Amino acid sequence: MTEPVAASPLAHREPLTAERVSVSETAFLGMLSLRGRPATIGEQAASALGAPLPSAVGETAVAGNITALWLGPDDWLLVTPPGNEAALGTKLSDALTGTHHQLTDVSDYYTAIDVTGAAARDVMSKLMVIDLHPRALKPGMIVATVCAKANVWLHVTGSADRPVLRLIVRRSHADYLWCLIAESGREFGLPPQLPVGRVKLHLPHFE
Amino acid sequence: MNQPFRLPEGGLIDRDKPVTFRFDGKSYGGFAGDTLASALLANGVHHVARSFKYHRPRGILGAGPEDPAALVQLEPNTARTEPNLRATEIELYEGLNAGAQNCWPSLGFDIGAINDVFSRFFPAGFYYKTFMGGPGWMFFERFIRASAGLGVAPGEIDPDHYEHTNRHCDVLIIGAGPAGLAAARAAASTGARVILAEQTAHPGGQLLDEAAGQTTIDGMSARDWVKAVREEIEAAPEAMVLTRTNGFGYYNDNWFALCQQLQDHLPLAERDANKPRQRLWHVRARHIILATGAIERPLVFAGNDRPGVMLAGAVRHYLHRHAVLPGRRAAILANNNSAWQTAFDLKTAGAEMAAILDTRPDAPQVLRDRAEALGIPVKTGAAVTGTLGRRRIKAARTGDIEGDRIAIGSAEMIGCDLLAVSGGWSPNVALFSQSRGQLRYDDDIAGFRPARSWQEEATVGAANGTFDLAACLAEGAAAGANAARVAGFDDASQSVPRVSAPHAIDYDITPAWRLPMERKTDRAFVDMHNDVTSKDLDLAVREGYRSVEHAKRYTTLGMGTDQGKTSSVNGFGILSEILDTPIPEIGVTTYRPPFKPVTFGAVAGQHVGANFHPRRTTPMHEAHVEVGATFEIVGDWLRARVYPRAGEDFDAALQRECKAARTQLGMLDASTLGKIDIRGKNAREFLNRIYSNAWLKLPPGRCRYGLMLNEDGMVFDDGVTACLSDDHFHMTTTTGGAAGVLNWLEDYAQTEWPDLEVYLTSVTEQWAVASLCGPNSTALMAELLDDLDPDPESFPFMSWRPAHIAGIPVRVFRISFTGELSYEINIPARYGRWLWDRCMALGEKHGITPYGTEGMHLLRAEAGFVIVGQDTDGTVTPIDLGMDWAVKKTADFVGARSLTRPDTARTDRRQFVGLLSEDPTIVLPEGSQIIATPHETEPRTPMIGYVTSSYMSPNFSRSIALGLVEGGHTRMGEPVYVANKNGTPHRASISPVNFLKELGGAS
Repeated sequence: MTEPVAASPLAHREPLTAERVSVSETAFLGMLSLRGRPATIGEQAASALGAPLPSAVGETAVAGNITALWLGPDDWLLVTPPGNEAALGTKLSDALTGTHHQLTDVSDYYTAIDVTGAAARDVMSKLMVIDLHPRALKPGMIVATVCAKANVWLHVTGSADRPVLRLIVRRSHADYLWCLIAESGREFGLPPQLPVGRVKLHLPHFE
Repeated sequence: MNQPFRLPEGGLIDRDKPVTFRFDGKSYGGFAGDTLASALLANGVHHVARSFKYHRPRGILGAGPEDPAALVQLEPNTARTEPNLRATEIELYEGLNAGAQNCWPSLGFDIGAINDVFSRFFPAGFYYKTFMGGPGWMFFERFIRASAGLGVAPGEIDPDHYEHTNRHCDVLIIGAGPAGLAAARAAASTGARVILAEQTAHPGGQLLDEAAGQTTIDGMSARDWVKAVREEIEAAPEAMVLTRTNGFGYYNDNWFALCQQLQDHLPLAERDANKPRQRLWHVRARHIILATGAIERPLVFAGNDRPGVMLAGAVRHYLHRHAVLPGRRAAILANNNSAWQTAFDLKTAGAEMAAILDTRPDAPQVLRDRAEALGIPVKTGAAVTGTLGRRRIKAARTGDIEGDRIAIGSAEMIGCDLLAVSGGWSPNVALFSQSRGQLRYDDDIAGFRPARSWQEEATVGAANGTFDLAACLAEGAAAGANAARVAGFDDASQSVPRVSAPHAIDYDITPAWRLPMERKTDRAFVDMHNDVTSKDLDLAVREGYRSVEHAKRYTTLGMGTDQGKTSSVNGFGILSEILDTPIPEIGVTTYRPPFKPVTFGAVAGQHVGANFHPRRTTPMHEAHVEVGATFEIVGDWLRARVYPRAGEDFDAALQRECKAARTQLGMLDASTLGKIDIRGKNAREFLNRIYSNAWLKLPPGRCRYGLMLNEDGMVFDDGVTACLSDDHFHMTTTTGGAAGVLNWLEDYAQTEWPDLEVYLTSVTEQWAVASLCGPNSTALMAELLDDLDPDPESFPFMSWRPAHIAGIPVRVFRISFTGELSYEINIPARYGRWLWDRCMALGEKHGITPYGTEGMHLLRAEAGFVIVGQDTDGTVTPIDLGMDWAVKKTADFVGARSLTRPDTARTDRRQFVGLLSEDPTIVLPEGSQIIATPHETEPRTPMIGYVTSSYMSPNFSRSIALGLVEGGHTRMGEPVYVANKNGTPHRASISPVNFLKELGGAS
């Protein structure tokens, strides 16, 4: 019997580091999508999580090793350390029994790319149209937005001058974004990265 | 190197850094801080270009982006070459090479100049009048195209890289002249986020174009003041000064586009490959201040395009910024006061002043006194009626203006090597107009100025028609403070700079839109970019093009790469005279972005080459790459199409894969299929309304194929949905349709049926999917699964079971897109690659063969399964597909009502059928039209359908095809003909779609 091997979406990449910016994947984070009306599930969810769900745009809530990210009026992403998603799922599922809700494990759907360092905002400004200035985007905020041509969630942690910009991205977009982030960081010393999608295409009409 | 027209001292050039450059094949010297134009002038070179239409020699008219004619080809015959660049804006660097353009064989002797001799045959509208007749436009077009254009586009891939960046700010200021600097300083002092953009390398604007010491501001020389203010702005915590930055586009909601040149000024060898050449800034600003200055207009008189005729302000620019004397014996021609300063400055710098010619009979006495004191001859009420000189002006013919003609006997020839002209200053309102701001014509300044803002904007300084320096500074400072206040920053510094300029000249103008001419054959150019003369405007009006927008297009006035910066307002003035209509009623043409040209590289930014577009890959992607698969793009996904072995071509690989999948064991990476988790007590009812078939009785553990229609009743997606539990379903969609289907479902759930308790969440990439197909698949499944018996008897078709593989929880679906015994394993994506490898290893003894999307397409065609998007095109109903069984009669669903519309209910609609060519070796080309007769007939053969899918089937050893044919369902066995572009149509017969049953005898 061979042991199953888990591979993260960016397993083929090494972290990128320059003086003022670094890029790395935080793989296998536990992630659960929670849908439900706050009036219906708010109380039960709060008691299971240990903190109320965030209730307004851009807000996040932290309870122990769980971070709840507000994605919409009835939509949250719960992020927890690798491996904890099953236990969290069971606990929440039990607490929410009988209510109208949807709890979905999306830990394999998404991965996290962390861009850190003093130049992190400058690097990501090249790919995102939202205001990344510390006056507008503060640690603890979550934004659903577009990065280059991919949908992402941007979760900010760290401090104002040493932010950690965490992009939560679809696994199939991860390599595309990784390479564009490296390209954006080239002036700060990040090494260029070639996307994996450079493959032979069968295009008889163009030959 | 010898620079005969360089002054011994002064200017903002660095004399310790001499620069060698080439122009038109000759080597010259200049200094760091020069532009190509200033360095050429320092070497006495005025003739730098040939004009667009008549190939007339053209010189350097202006000193910035307004210059219409001094266009050159930078770095010719290299990958970096760029055509039509203004010599006035190219910063000189060591080794720069610029070529003359639009001339052959040389700039000095140009065959194309023959056009000028025959110019009276090329009036406005020449193309429209000439080339529509005779052999017609299609014939003439290639000759016209060969002679069109100015420079040459690069032929190689651009070696530089570019990027976009985005910023939000409180105050964006465009232009760092005195007004812009004052505004930026006031705004920056509040702590607001401020961006000041300046198109040249140096802030300062007009303050740098005057003699050092002419003006003091706050007790400092103007140049020191500029330096101090810049430092103050840059020291502010949230302010930034962007130089070499062209603010070119003002869009809705104060969204502004700027192009910053980061490396264009550096010698090629010193450019940093890790930095972009240019950066496109997208700025969203709370408030925008336009301090874009004013643009000087030339005067329209015979011979006004001769090299050596320059704008008076530009002459001051070269004199004071670059320490260049553009001519040793100069004349001035003006209709306003400002050009007199040029005369005084030239004289002071050591030039001989031949004359000041002022078109006004009553030029101010104070100016005349100063001219007299300097010993400069003055003629008022005078015009220039012609110029002499081939590659540079030698003399100007002048005469006294008498109404609309020249007084007889007043002609006089004035020898000069420079004629500095000024027709007045037009506020540079291009960006203001782009913002939808309204203009008004102001007689006092003879120009259009901002009247009403449309966005959060203020225009200040000369751009606002304010020409007095102290007033510019006050206006800028007030606007900066106000902009910051609007953005929520109150405590702006209220200090207004104090100006001392005892010899400043007040601006005063009496317009003279075109000067009288002596001879009928004389030509005066309004637009020196597109070679439009004042007579062309006369002609346009005579031919009925009276609206300013029509006259512009008919004559091409203002339509060059310069966008008419020096020509538009003169054109409006001349039209007003021709039509005898006041200028405000003539109006202005529309200003559009970009304010000045932007490179395609900057527009594309970093989204080029391998980074152009996301290519989504599955968790198993590398496994396909490793065995040499070729791929296709589906949506944004890369999917393995076939897996050719050594020596195999595409078709051979395809035949092998499909044979193996039916006779042994095939494996497909199906991870890209869209997957949606659907949950809620009304989930079942929701599905029943969304799908055309019935869903109320599907029990947990079972799956069903579903068809989704749009409101028109047309099929738009399909897939299999499994019941996980009574309130929980797992839907699959097509790969390309996944995002659209989820949006569609959310739209209905949120807006049409908010009463239904149902939630939807995409799980497309949560699961990696391996689809196993073929008679040996059960044996492999038995080895893989920890805890599930895959026997088709106990685990029947169209059911699903949870199970484990090596302890990993999986979902196994007994569904098939090939008509063969199949299992689809859904495993958490992180284990996708491992599962693929595991199946390959365990399956070896069962003959496992990976097959790609092409094989999948072929196999499903053998089974007669439709591919939405290939066999359908948005006009196909389930009835057309022969899938009446998937249309329920018992309940309503999206699209149901449309199926009874007369057109959708027709029985002769194009219907989905099989097609078997008479010759089994012929694969009917996909897309071929189907006709009813053996031969095409004239005039047009009725087309009764077309081929949607077509393959050589390895399992039936003959070709098979699918198509849409009018009334096809009732024409089984009938012959049709498939159009063949290479010969007679192929004969084929109509058959049912399920070839497994038709040809293979499957039940």
